[in-house]
Order: sequence, then structure tokens, then C-alpha cells
Amino acid sequence: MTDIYFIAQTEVETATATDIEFTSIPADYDELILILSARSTKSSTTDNIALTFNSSAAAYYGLILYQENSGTPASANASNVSSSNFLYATGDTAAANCFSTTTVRISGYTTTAAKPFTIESATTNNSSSVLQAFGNGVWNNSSTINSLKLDPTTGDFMQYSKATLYGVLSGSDGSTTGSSS
Amino acid sequence: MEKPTKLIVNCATGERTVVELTDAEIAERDALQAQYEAEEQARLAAEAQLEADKASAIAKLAALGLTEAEALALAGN
Repeated sequence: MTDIYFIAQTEVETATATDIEFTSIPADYDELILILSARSTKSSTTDNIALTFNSSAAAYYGLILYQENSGTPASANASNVSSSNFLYATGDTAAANCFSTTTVRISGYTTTAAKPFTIESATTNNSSSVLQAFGNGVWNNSSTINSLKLDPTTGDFMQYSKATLYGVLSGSDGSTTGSSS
Repeated sequence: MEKPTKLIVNCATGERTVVELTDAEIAERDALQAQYEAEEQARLAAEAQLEADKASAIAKLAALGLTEAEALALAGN
């Protein structure tokens, strides 16, 4: 039995925001799930978003990505880099009101082991010029993850971009452990 | 000049605040953007080179007597 609990949500209510950051993430869960709906000010159909944990720009990240960009498949990998920029926002030249959708699942975020995470991300642009990607990464650091920052690499988050963080509890004996914070 | 802002949500309290970036954060952001742009340019250049190499290979195969379909099949198109 697995239960998913809401932790926090935020939305860009004014014109733009350069970053969205979740701080003081409780260490009460087994996994974290981040859901992001984003549009960037970048003058393009897509913009990358850098994900960093604990405001650490040190080179602790290893990444593998598979993507398809308007019909063209591609792959990429990176090791010992300072953030995971394999998340995507719909850019400002895409059709109006189109936002990307992204899910990041982070396992064992309170353990001292390296933290693996998976990414699914897709931009939208009605029927053309869209990018979809899935990949995985690892944050090779022993610290508990207590903050999480999202930063479009070229533009800023546009109004109505929204990020939501959830915690996952998994019962070791088939039942749910703990309780909602 | 107005400084860029970030949106912070404190998961313990639920409080949301809009905070101006510090000079260090602005510099870090600029460096990240420059790094990304350089990586993107390198990726695009590699893609263009691959396409040029494929076109060259197809032309050379055609000169050896392969049909266009055979040459494209070898090039993975």
C-alpha cells in the first residue's frame, strides 16, 4: 500500500519569476514527487529547466536522457554536472496558453545513499514543435534533500506556471506507515 | 535596475515569499545560462555535421552505382 500526501504548491501569480524553490521539505516520506506545469519567457518553443537540490551547485549529478523533438529522436548523458537541466518548459513562441507538463520522482531522499530520480517532461504547442523526454539521474550526495530549486536556463517562469510537491509513504509490510504531515 | 525575483515556498509553514536574487545568485544564473548556450551550440553543430556526413556518404554511394533508396537505407534514413 502506498499513500501520496500533498506537501506544498506554488504558482507564479505576478508577471514572471526567475526561480521556484521549495524549502524546509519535511523528512517524513520515502519518496518525493514534483509535478510542474511551466511556460518560459524564452523566445523559442522550449526552454530547459535546471533542477538543483539543497541549493548545491557542486558537480554531484549524473544524467541520462531520451527525447523526441518534433519527430527527431535524440539522447544525451552527462556526469559530474552541477544540476539536472533535463526538464522542459514550453517557450514563449509556442501557441498561447500552452504549458509544459513534468513529473520528477525522487527516491530515498532522506537516506545517506545517492538519490536516484526519474523525469518525464513534455512541452505543448497545439499540434507542432513539441518536445517530450524521459530520463533518469542520480544526486551523488549523502545529505538529506531539504530544498529543491527550479530555474529555467534561459528565460523566467511566466505567470500561471505552477509547481506541486508530494510525499510518498510505502508500507514495508503491505500497509501504509506514518501519517500525513 | 530592478533585480529578478524568485518564488520560495516554505514546506514547513506553507508560507510563500517573493525574494530578490542576490548578486551571487544572479552570477550563478548567468554562468548556468552561458554553459547551457555553449552546450546547445555544440549539440546543434554535431547534429549539422552528422547530416552533412550522411549527405556526403549518400552522394558517394550513388556514384558507386547504388540507387538512392539503397544509399538512404545504408545511411539509416
